[in-house]
Amino acid sequence: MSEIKKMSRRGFLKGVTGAAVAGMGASLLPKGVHSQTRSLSIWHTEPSDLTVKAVQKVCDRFMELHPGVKVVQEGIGWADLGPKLTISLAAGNPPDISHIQPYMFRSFQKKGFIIPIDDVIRSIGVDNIHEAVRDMTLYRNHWWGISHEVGCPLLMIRKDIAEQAGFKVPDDITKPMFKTWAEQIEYLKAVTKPEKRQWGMSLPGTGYFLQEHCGRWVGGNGGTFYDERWNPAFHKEPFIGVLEFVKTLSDQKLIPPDWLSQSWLGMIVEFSTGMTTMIDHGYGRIAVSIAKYAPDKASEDYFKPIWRPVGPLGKVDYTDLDSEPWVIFAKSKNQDLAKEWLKLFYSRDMYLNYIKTYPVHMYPITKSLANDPEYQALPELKQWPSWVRQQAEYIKRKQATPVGVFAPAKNIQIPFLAEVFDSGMIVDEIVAMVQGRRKAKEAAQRISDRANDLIKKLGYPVPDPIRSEKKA
Amino acid sequence: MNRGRSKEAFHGILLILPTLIIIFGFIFFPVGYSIWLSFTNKHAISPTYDYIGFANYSKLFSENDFWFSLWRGAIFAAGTIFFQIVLGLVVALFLNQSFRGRGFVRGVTLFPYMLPTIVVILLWKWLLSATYGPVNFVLESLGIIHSPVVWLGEKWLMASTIMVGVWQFFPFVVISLLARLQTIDLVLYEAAKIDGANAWRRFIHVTMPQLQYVLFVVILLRTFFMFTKFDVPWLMATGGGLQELLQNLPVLAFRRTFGFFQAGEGAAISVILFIMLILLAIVYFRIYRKEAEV
Repeated sequence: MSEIKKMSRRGFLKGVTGAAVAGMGASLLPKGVHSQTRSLSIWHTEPSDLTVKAVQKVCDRFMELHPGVKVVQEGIGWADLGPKLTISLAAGNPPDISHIQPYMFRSFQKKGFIIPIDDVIRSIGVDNIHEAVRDMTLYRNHWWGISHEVGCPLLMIRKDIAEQAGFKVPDDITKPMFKTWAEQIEYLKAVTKPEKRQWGMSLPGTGYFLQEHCGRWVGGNGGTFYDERWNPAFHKEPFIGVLEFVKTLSDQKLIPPDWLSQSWLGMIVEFSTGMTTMIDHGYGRIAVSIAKYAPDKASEDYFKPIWRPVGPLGKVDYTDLDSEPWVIFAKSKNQDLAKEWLKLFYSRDMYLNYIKTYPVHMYPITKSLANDPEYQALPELKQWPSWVRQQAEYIKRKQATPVGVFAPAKNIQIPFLAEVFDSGMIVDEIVAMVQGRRKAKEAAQRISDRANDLIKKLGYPVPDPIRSEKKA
Repeated sequence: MNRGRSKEAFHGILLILPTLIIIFGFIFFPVGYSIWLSFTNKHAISPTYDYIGFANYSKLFSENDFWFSLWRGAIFAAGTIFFQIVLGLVVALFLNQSFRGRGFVRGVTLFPYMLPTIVVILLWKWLLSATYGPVNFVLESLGIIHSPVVWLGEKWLMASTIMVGVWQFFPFVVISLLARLQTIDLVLYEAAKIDGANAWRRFIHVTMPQLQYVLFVVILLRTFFMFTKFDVPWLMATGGGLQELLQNLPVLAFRRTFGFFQAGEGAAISVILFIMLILLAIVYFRIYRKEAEV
């Protein structure tokens, strides 16, 4: 109390004002005067403990090699990445390096948010990277990003349940068990037993993943989300066929009754625990879930990938490349350091250490690591050989296209993919159709119309938004 | 003399300056900036934008999506507030009685309010799951239902979400009402008893009038909170699938800003919501003042 009394009001005000002036003065000083420390901030979509530790190892090594540089990483769930990046970009303060979704790439590139990273690609080895992954972000002779891994979702089946129902699951993973969706539906009818809490297949209601399924299937039904001129093609027969396929699955109750509220994780648990007998979203990460929920069945005798059937209009089936590219933002003050960090990330030991965290899911982007004896000797790969082999087969056959882009892969160059995909309009109409509020044809037409409205609002010419590219 | 007073005034201004900076920085600036954005065609991440007058507002008012969102938000808010008040009042009256273990029960009653929303949603989604949820299991075991009810499906989703909202937030009502109940003069009850009032009449003629001002504040606050609720409707529909069925204005604003990347439209929705809540507050206060005068 006496201490407080000793300070006069004037003295207090002088002190506060002095501190404020000093603070303001310090903030106006040239940056180098504050400190010699440079920093790199890194955002990625692998927030699990294991992977965060692997990324931290790269950061620690980088800081050893570059004294005076501080590297801070942040693992962000994929669903939170979009809003977080949007806010940071709107504020003009993005990280130096980040994962982005493949379908965001052109939107970012067109707005000048990211820079080419050709020298990173060259340092990894142009021919060493799987072509489908390497050229994902190739635009006007520059590479603008590089994926951290490749994960392809496969059609997985409960082999034991199929065999109990009298179906033969092919040993050859390149041979489809069903040739068409119609055959697949017949199978699902045979194994769906609601009284035993067993349904034919899992399907997620989460908007992002429902769109992902539909995008994959439209490719397998001979279609695409956008035509050659970048016009929305949702109203065309292949997409209408996909909607009817989803409607059949739902109406015939071949998927769990509350599937529209089912999350990605919930769907995985359903499949791992035998509540559903099939999943068309068999990312290698599920191996962890199987080990947790069904440790006694964690082998390909129970969980087996099969080759996807095609739709009535399709000839070739597709899977996705779930491989978020690393990009470097133009706002980064340390672009050269950022490139060096990426080079270190892909150095053999660091990259192997990273891939090891989920080796079935994270198929390496480099051929050298995919063929590396140490990678091939990983126990998870011995446990799930078909899973890994089928991913490699899809990539080799170029039947894996980026998530959110879908077939054909060249559609990644469309600069408004992110806006349409993230708007939720596709899933809104799918749900309206499933609930019987709209017919498939009407819902499909509405998606195209709504997409056109948005594309126009974004400043692209409608029809034929590709005209904007020629002007550029 | 004048010099001394102006010095004092200067010191006074200097002292309140930090508060003013905080108020302007954290309240007036964001609100003002949102209002400004609502008159532009700002893309969420593009740096350039144009002034477009009331175009965002006229577009929104012409869209079914906007009116449906307003309607769904109103249903969610009205449903949750009504049941929160009813349940909160019943529980507060119960907890105002003397019984063994009252302290423990009071503590447990507050539990839902202390949980993070994400935990509440995950818990209820598990409980209500049609495939593995214990709620259906119990109801089936008791013979109340014969096949699983899809609580998180189209028919029941809004009702389930209202129920979750009620469960999580009714303790707020309990705390507020209980605090007032404990300060009601017991003499009033004694007098009513002497006049021959039974328990129901004592509740209507003594308890309720004593609670009315607290109830007024609680309803006002809960209306603000529930009408602007984002997390519960968003998480119950897992950001997709049936999201449209639970889309209120805050969810619509989020989707327009971060989904469609139309920050101008998102800001316009926020401004409309802001104005609606101000109007609601004015109406409430007018009614309150009139009743207080009576």
